[in-house]
Order: sequence, then structure tokens, then C-alpha cells
Amino acid sequence: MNKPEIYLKNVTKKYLRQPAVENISFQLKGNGVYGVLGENGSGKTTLLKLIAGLLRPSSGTVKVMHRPVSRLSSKDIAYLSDADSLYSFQSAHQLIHFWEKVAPDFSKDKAFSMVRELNLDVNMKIKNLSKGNRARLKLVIALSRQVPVLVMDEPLSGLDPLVREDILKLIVMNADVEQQLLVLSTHEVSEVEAFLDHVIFMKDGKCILEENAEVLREQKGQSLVATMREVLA
Amino acid sequence: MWWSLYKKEWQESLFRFSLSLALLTAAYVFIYIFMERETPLVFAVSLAVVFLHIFYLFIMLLASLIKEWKENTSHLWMNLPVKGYVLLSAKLAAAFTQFLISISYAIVAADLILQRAMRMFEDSAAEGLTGIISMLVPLYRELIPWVLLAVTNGALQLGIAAMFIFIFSKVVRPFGWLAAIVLTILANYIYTWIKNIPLIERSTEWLPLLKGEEIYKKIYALYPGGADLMEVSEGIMTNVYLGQIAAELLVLTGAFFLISWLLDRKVEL
Repeated sequence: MNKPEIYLKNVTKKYLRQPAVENISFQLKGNGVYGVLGENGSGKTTLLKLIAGLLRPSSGTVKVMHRPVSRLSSKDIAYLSDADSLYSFQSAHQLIHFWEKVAPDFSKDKAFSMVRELNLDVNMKIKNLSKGNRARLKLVIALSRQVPVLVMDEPLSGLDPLVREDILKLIVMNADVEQQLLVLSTHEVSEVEAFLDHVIFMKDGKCILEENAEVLREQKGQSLVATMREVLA
Repeated sequence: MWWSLYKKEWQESLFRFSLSLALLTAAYVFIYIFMERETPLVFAVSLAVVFLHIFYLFIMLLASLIKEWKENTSHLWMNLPVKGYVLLSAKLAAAFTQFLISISYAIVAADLILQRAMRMFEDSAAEGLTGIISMLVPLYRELIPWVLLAVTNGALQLGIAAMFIFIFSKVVRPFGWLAAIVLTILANYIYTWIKNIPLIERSTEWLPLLKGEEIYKKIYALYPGGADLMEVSEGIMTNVYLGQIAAELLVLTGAFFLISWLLDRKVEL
């Protein structure tokens, strides 16, 4: 697998004339867990969609693995949406086999092993699964792809504490952070703080701080949660 | 890979397809009952139903794409590591298969309705009309392959137009759909103008499949004094050439790849 890299230069995305993200530049190089942190409406989802090639920047450049992003960047990027995006008429079994056939980077064995660990009923239609199980299954699909970049938009959002714990465990145990670059957005900083290698704080569509998590803790002498409160105040 | 996408599209559209077949059945049952109770002339509606299939791909493809966005499965669909033409061709192929099944069903049902209507006509018709009536079923059977060809061509054109309108609406916001409709009409106008240039027209007139004159002769033969009418209509008699069909398919393929390129490079979630 090639060394993962994400590069953004002066990226702005406007909806009509309203900027959703404004003049963002950063470069994420190498493996690790990168957290995009900020309140609701701070532009996290827009930023992640730009990285995944699912939105076009109004101006600026977005490159992943040294190439400008487009929908075709999906061969290098697994994108986990915050929305309920699975086909409800499929069962988990059908979904995994479907992905095995359409994505050459997909590991069916890894997917089935995760599904077994989670005690998910593989034959039940997705529409009949609980919200938590649908979130788990969505994550199983993203984590089963052997791609350099994993982009996860609010994987914990709207889920109860037990499911959130499960999801975090699933990410920590199955994301290949030695090889992959994982970008995840959240506003539940306290829960993910321990896993983050690098943080990007977003406010009102702007990137207000981007730093290595350890360096930031040392510099500020406080937790990321406290730093977030201070920075976003 | 393509086969899995095709199966997914088939599964996704199964309810819509079943519903359309159920509606078709209901329409034919209604026509049959109405024929028995009121007038056998209602048989003409069953022929109209065959022609209405021209809108089949337009409706089905639009419904499939709208559903993809409405139910947020577009997040997954757009992140499949597959070229746009593969994604769209799977959608098109699933809808086209269902179109063929549906129109075949409609053609057979219309044939049965027509036979029944003819029997009813024969029982009640005046002496002079019996000859005309008896020719209708064989004429229908002779012409239906050409009707199928024409409806399929129209349905494909409208299906590609539906894809373009939807995909373009996700490229240009807001009102991309409106711009796409205008562009489609404009492109159709330009295409018609180009294909009517004498040089282009002649270059596609190879391998005649159907001679318009023969069809008109058969149709006008049904009416008393049809020969006089035929002379008036000679100007609109055209032939169908394999070259024309090949040219149409080439243009549709070009449009399809343009839409696939838009999906890969320009569409936004």
C-alpha cells in the first residue's frame, strides 16, 4: 500500500454565495488517526466530502495520494457517511458479498470476522436491523477496505453510549493505523481523544488550529477537550 | 463486478417493476371488461399502452437515481471504486431488461385483446367490414416488430435524457435540471438538423430494413378508397435503414459516456 497523503491548498467551498469551508490549507502525511474536531455546523462534513472527492471545491486544490480528487479517488479512499447509507433491501451477507465483488481492495474475511464479533445476524435485511447495528455494519464495510485513506464522518453521532463504545473498539481494533491514514470527524472529543495522533480544529468553516495531538497536550498542558473549549470559545 | 451491480439494481427496482406489471395487468383487465360491457373499440387503448412504453426507461431510471439520493445510498454508490460507466450501465441494463419484459407482456396482451375485439366485431359487424377486421390481427403481428424497434429507440433516447437531466442537476445547482432539459431539447434539435443534412442522410441510408411504402399500402388497404389517400401521403413515406439505427446508437453511446464522465468528475453529493 502506498504511503497515504492528503493535501489541501486554499480550499474554499461555497453553497450559492455562502461559504461552508473557507481558505483551508493543510497536509496530512503518513499513517495515523487524524481528528477533525468542531461543533455542529463548523464545516467538518463539507471538509470530509471534499477530501473524499464527493464535493468539488469552489476554489483551491484537494489532492489525495498526489492526485486531484474526484469520485474516482474512491479506489484510494473509503468514505463512511454520517447518514444511513446502506441498501435497506440487502442483508449483511448480501452486502458483504456485493462489496467483495465491486471493490478489489475489500476483505470479505475481515468483514465476516467483524460481523461475527459483533453478533450481527447476517441474514436479516438491513432495514430490520437496529440503528446501532446499521451503524456497526456500515463501519464494518469501511474498515474492510484495504485503502490508504479512511474518511469517517461522525461515526459516533446519534448513537447511545454502549454503541459508541462498540464502534470505537471496532475502529481501534480493525483500522490498520500502521498503514492507513484515518480521518474522523466528531464533536465527541472526550471519547476519541486517546486515539488521536493529530487534530484539526474547525470553527465557522475555518481551520483554526492543526497540530500533533501529543505536541498540543505538552504545549498547552491540558487535555484536548480543554484545548477545544479554549480554542473554539 | 458488473453482474453484482446489475443484481443490486434489479433487487432495488423489483418493487417498482412488480408494481408496473401489476398496473399493466389492471389496465388490460379494465380494457377487457370495458370491451365486453361497452364497445370493442376500446381495444385501441391496448395498442396505446404498448406505445406508452416509450416513457418506461425515463420514469424507471429517474426513479432509481432519485431514490439513490433521497435514501442517502448515494454516499455508498458514489464511493464504489468503479468507473461511472459501469455504475450507470448496470442501472440502464436492469431497467432495459425490465422494459423488454414489460413491453413483451404488453404486446402479447394487446394481441389477445385485439383477437377478442375482432371476434366481437365479426359477430356484430356489417357484411362489408368483416374483410377489414380479419386483416387487423395479421397486420398487427406484421408491424409489431417495427413498433417494438421504434418504441425501444424512443425509450432509450428518453432513458439517456433522464440520466443526463438527473446527473446534470447534481453538477449545477440550483436549477441544473432545468438547464439540462433546455440542453437536451437543444441537442435533439441540433442532432435532427445534422442528420437531415442531405450528405449525412445519404451516408446512413444503407441496408434498408423496412420500406415505408409497403407499410402504408397495407394500412390504406384497410380502407375503401385507400389508394387515393396514399398518393396524398407519399411525401411522408420513409424507409428505415440499419445505417440510421447504427447512427442513433452511436449518438446514444456518446451521450452515455458523456454522462458517465460527468458522474466521475463533476457530480456532487
